Amino acid sequence: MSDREQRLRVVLAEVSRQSLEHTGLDDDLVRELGLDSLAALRLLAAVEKRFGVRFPDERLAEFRTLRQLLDLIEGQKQEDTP
Amino acid sequence: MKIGLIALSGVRVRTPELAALGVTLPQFVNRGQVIASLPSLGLLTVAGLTPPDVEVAYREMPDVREQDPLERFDLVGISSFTAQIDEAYALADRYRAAGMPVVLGGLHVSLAPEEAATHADSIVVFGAEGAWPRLVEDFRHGRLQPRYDGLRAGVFEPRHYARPRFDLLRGRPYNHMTVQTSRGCPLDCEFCAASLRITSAFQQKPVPLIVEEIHAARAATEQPFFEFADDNTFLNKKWGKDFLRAITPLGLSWFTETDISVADDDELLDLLAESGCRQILVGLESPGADDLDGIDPHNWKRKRCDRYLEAIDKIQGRGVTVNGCFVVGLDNHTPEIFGRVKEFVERSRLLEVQITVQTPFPGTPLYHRLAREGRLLQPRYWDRCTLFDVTYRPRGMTVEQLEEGLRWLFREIYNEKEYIRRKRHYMEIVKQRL
Repeated sequence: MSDREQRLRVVLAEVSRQSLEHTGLDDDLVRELGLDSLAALRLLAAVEKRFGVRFPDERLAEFRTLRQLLDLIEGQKQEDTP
Repeated sequence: MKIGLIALSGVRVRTPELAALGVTLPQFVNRGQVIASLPSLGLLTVAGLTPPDVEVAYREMPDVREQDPLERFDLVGISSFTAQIDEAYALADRYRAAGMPVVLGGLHVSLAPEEAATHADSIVVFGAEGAWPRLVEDFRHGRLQPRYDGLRAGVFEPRHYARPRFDLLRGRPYNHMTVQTSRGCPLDCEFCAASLRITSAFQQKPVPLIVEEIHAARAATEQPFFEFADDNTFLNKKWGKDFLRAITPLGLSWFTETDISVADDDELLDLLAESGCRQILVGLESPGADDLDGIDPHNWKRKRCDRYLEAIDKIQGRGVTVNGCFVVGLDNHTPEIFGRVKEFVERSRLLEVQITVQTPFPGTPLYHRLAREGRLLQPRYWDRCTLFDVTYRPRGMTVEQLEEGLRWLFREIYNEKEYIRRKRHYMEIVKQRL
């Protein structure tokens, strides 16, 4: 597990107040953690703040797995690298 | 002895155009689905009031299919809101034709008891507390009376209170659970058809009882989202703070309905956020003070209206979203109200909005006034009491203008662009608080 994935799991666990110990990279977080629509937005907001990224507004509903979140973080971090 | 309690609940839109529009409107559909998926707290309370030696089965309308033979019960209890009351009556008639005695209860039955009595062996008017235990005893002894009047006050006193039977929901796929913390509301808005119509005074449940109910509800369903099924939870700020301090350690996510004065108290707002409150639904009703003149006997909402924007900001700044409710078709509304509601929604940055049309539910002061003024479109229109169908002649516009304005407002407020804008605003608020 990469440092970034580990950090992501910690952030999500903190905001959702649930353990992500058994959550797979491709598991649907909304279903897995039983999130309502506002809780899902809070998770995204926490990821944006802690990782300094921004999800495209029109695609917020598409980010539902750890892998999708990591891909977005990786993608935006690479763009930031000169 | 076995009693079957059958619930009819949920929201519906009868007008095909609005229904079609509703399907494409995420927020409206979401809220509709949530309401439709809530269990009947009233019948779970009736089950709790039933003597322990009597077997109780909790059923919902979809469980009772027309093509199947009816499940046998010694006594059947049916509860429904106004919009579905005709289906409730038809179901009651079916049970009675099959030789099973039927009791009808609930808000509509309390407001139109004579009508309900023609479809039942007995009716329960007002709260089930003080009525249902007597009714069961009478039925057991073969002396069922045609009408039982329940309590309008003191329903949470130990001698009358019974914990709702949340255990009857085991195995049902509910992820939202309702718990009642109070009954009634002193604001007494003219159109309100909620629990204030079956109470004589505002009543609050002792906090320890609420905590016990939350534990019981959690034992029946895994990680439910809680809806406190009140009309005005935080009317009493001191009680509100005690309640919030008691539920904070429980780690809930929850929703409730209250009035805008919740924003007057910073400590209360902080506790609200800490306790896991995700949304409060507030009846703003209309964006202008003049629109609200006469809506409640003390013009409370009119006096508060100028501070709506500031209050919404304070509440949402804590990460608690406000579901602002507007009623169109009030007597002081003209066709320009639709544009003004849209403008207010944009300025206020409300994170959730509910638009409904004024509805004269039977038995309400609004119903009696409009009937006196000869403005009801039909003498009986219960299936149109959906909150989205126009059932009376408005004063400041035509019926057609009201219907078209409602459709326009739906399109303007419930569209993907607006939905995304609200979501982004919520995320920015959350980020500021992290």
